[in-house]
Amino acid sequence: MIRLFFKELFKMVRQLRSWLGPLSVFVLILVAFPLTQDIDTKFSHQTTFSFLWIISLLVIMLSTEKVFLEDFDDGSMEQHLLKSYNFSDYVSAKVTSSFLLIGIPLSCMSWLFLQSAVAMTNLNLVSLLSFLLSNFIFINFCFFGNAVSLKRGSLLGLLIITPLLFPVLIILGKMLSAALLGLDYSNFLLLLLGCSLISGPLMPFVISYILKIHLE
Amino acid sequence: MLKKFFHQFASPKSYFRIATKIQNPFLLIFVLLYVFALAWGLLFTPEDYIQGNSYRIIFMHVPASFVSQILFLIMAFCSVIFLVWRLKLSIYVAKSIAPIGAAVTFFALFSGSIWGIPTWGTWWQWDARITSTLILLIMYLGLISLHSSFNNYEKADRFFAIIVLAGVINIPIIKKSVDWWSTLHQSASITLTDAPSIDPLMLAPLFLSIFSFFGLIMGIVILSSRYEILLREQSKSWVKSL
Amino acid sequence: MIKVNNLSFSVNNKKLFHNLSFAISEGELIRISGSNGSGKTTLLKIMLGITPPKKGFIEKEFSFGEKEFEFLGHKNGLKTYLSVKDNLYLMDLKLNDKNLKVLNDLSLLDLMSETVGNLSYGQQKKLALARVILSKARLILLDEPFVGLDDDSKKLLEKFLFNHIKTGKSAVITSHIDIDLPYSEICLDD
Repeated sequence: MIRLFFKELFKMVRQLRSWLGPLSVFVLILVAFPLTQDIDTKFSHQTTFSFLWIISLLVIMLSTEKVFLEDFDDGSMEQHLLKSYNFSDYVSAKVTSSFLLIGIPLSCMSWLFLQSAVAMTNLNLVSLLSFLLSNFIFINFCFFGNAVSLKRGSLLGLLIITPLLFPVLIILGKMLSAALLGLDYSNFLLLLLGCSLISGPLMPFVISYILKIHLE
Repeated sequence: MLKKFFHQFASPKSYFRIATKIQNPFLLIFVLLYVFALAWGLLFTPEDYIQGNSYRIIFMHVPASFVSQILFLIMAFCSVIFLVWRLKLSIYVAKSIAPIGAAVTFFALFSGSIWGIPTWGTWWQWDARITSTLILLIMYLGLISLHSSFNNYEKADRFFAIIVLAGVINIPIIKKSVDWWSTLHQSASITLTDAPSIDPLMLAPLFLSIFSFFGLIMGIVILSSRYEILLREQSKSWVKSL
Repeated sequence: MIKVNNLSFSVNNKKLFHNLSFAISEGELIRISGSNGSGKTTLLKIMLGITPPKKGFIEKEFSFGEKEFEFLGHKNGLKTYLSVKDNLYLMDLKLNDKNLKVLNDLSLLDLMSETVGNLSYGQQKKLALARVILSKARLILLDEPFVGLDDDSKKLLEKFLFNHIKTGKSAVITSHIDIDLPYSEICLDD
């Protein structure tokens, strides 16, 4: 399992465009956003946060577009299916390395951007945590969407899974408005944590089932 | 006995025979009933004392939005049957529902927009129900494009069924979360709830219009599932002999 | 070793094969032949358990998923943006003397740091075959292994297959090209 993870990580690190590309797109959009505003405009918390969430979601969609297609096309996915480890382990290894190389940097950059854009008082830790959790959920669902529409471009799968992500976005929004009002937001954070704890172990099984149908 | 009957009816061949027989009378009855319900609702019900005559679109809007959700549930039911018992007929029916469901959902949104202009002064509001109906429309459209993107029908069927099930779990979640989202955010000035006390004189044609519209749509489902069967079973001998 | 019973398969109502039965015993080489689209690859995939058959079943002496078999399909399973050495790492092949000798025989040793995408089709095929040759599998399933190989490499593969079945192991291949080995044939054309 750990060996598998290191192999996937190795493959991904060596393929720079699969993670460095989306990250630079993210930075460029972050630069572009303040340019559309006046220099002395103060960003509102709500706008900045929702901007960051949506952009993270889009960048993750972009970066996961071909995760399974490459392995499917060159035949290494078949080999993984025939190996002695569980096929879902292979999917988890892919998800984990994606989170490591894309999800975590995205969260950190979002957090840095927040520091520069709005006055952070009591939101420091919780905003970083919410970025990490939401990006983890986004990555899982985008993998699911890409597995569904493997050979047909990722658009189709994303069309179907994006509605599944709306509740997550709503939870994020609720959490923020509660925090801004100084209310207790820990239940929203727990809800988010619950979502990622469910999707983390469950998604690889669903995805591997779908991939198996593709391989038939 | 029951199993035998089930098996016999569930074969595409006998379903096709029965469907061919009942399709036209079925459609005719419900078209007439729907026209009657509309006429009753549009011409012979009293005017609403707040909304005036514009409320009458309720007789088209409410059936459409009700049926759009019921169709998804029927599709999910068929998908479960397909995944568990591998009954091909059920996936044929489910697949032929998708475009009809999309059309009905679109009609529900469209008629709602028309109704919105005189009553709220805007054709669109990011309200809980409208948003979740829009998501329903997107899911229907996604399903249609999903099935048409596979060459291998058997794989396409299984993906279709899986995604329908994902969607049907999704819909109550979205509905709940969207409700939750809008109830805290939105001021109470505009809500989409029905007129608080609806007159029985309006209620009777409303129920009739829902019932007859549902029957009408089911008639169309029968019609299009027959074509689906013909398309998919075209290499079978009984189709060739038709 | 493997017994195939009354296997049937069809795609979109088009029958590929019907009531196919055969057995593979130790030390036997099976060649599956048939015209294009007759279902050779599908039959291999059914034997591997990737594709479920429409009818019939397969009895196996061992379960797939153990290191008892090795499969190479049309697609090589290589990463074109990585070097030969990195691909060997992904295949779990250690660079010990024995393995290096085989790689030398396949004339891949000089190409270790070359990117796989820059290799010719035949060289890529040889690299993929190295995984099969270096495994200790009891059953080998190869889909069109001779396509794109030059004469020397073809002889090398034939020699390997000959030694493989001589030691009581089995192999299944699909091939259009005639081979210089004793085999029993399964023809999928009716």
